[in-house]
Amino acid sequence: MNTQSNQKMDITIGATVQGQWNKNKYVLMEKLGEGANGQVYLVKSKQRKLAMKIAYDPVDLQSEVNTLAALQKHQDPSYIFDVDDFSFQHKLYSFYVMPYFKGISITEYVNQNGSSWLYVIGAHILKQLVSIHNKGYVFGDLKMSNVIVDQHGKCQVIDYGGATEKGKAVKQFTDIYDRAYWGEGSRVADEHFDVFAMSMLMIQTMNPNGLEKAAKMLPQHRNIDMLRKIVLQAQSYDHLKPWVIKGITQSFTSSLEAKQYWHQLMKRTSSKAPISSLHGWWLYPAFISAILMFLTSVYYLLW
Amino acid sequence: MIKQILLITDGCSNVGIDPVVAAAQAKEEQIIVNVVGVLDQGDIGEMGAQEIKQIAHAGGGMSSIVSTHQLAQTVQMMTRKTVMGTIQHVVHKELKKSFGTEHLQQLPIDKRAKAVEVMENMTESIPIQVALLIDSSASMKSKLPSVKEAIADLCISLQSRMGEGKLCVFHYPGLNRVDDVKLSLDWTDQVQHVYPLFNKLSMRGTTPTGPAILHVIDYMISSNHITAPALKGGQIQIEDSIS
Repeated sequence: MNTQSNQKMDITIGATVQGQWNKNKYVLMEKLGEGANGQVYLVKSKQRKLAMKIAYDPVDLQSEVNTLAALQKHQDPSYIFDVDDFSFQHKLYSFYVMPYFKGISITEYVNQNGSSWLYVIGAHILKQLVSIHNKGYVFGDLKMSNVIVDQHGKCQVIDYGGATEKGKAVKQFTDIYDRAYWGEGSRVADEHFDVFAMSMLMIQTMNPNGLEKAAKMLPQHRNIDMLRKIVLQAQSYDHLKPWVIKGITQSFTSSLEAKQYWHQLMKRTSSKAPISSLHGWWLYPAFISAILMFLTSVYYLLW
Repeated sequence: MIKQILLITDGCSNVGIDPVVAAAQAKEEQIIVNVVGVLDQGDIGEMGAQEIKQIAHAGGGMSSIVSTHQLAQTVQMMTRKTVMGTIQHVVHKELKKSFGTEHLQQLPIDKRAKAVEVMENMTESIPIQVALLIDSSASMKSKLPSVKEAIADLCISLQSRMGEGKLCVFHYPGLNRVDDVKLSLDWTDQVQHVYPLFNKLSMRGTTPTGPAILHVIDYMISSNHITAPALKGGQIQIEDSIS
C-alpha cells in the first residue's frame, strides 16, 4: 500500500463523459459537492437533470451501490439509473447516476420559513429512517449536509456512503452526530445510532452555539449531561425537548416508537404549525430525488 | 489476521538501530507499520518528516503528518485503509484466478457487486491486532491527551466490528536508562482500559524509535502464539465465494 495519496480529478464543467459499458453520455453542469472519497455533479442526459457520484475508489462506489440496491429492491422508481466507468486522463473512474434533488439545508429552511417547519422536516426524516431500518439497514452518516429540504418543506436524506447493515460497524459517520464521540455507546449499526444522530441534528438547529462549544471540550468532559443542558437551554422548540432528550439517552425502543412520539408532539403544537401546507405535504406521494453533497465528513469508516 | 504497528511520534529518532531497518523487519514478519507525525505548534522538521515517510515505506504502510485535533481521525483512517488494502490484496488474487484480471474495473458491472460484498464481509470479520507505539519524549507531553483520545476512539471502532479487534499500547523511552520501551497497556478491546493511560508518565529526552519497534515486533509475534487458537475461528475462506 502506498502512502496517503490525494487523487485529484479536475473535470471541466461542460465536459461530456461516457460510460464504457452502457455507453450513456452525460454533460457535467455543476459540481454539487466534493469529499475525501469522491465528487458529485449535476449532470444532464437526454434533457433530464440528474446527479452523478464519481468515486476515487471503485470499491467504495460499488459498496454504496450494493447498499442502495438492497434498500431499493422492492421500490419504484429506482434510485440508481446507471452504474458505469468512464476514462479521464488515462484513469478509470466509477460512477453511478441518481435523481437530482434541489433544496437547501434544514437551518436555512427554518430560518427562512419559521421554526414550526422543523416538526415537518423531522417527521419526514424519521419516516425515511424507519423505512431504512425496516429493511435491516442503518443510515449511519445522518448530518446537516446530508439532509436537503425543498421549497415545500419536503426533505430527503442523501449520501448513502454510511449506510450499514444492522449489527456491523457503521461505515461512515461524523463526529458530533456519533454517539461514541459523546461516550454514549458503540459504533455498531443499530436504530439508536440513527435516532441519536437525528437528535444531534435537532440540537444543532435548536441551540447551535451551545453545541459548538460542547463539541470542542475534551472527551472526558463530553457527555450526556452536557447535551441535556444544551437542549434545556435552547430558547425555542420547547415541545421538541422531551423527544430530543429521549433520543440522546437512547430510551426509545425503536425508531418507529421515536416516530410515533414525534407525531404526538406535532399534534400538540399543531396550532402553531403551518397546517395547510403540512396537510398537502403529508399526502404527497414521496417521489424522491436527491443531490449528493459530498462529505465534508470529518470521519468515515469502512470496516 | 491483520497485524499493524501504529507509531505516533513528533520528531526524529536519536538512539539505537535505524527505525527504517526495524520497520523493514516488521514487514518481513507480516506486520504493517503506519506512522503518524503529530504536531501542535511548530514544525516536525525536515529530518523528522523524512524519517516518518521512510519508516512507513519500509514497513509497507502509510504516513501522515497531522495536528493534534486530526489525530483520532487519522488513526481511524489508517487502520481502515490497512485492513481494506490487505483484504483487497487477497481478493485481487482470487479475482485473477477466477476472471483472469485483478482489476475490479475490468470486471463487468454485475460481477463487481459480489466481489465487493466478499471484500466487505472479510473487512468486517477479519481479526485485527494494533500495537500503538507512542513516542513519549519530552516534547510529546502536551500531545498525550489527544493521543489517548485517538486510542480510545480506535478501541471503540475495533470493538464495533464483528471480527475480533484488539489493541495494545507501548510508550518509549521506558522509565530507566536500560528500557527502550515499556508496555503501557496489554491487549484489550475494552475502552475503559484506555482512559487511565499515561496518567503517571515521566517524560525523558531520548527517542529510541528503532529499538522500540523491534521490541514491539517480538511482542506481537510471541503473543500471537498464545492467542492463535482463539483467533482461528475468524479466518475466512474466500475460495469460490467470488465466482
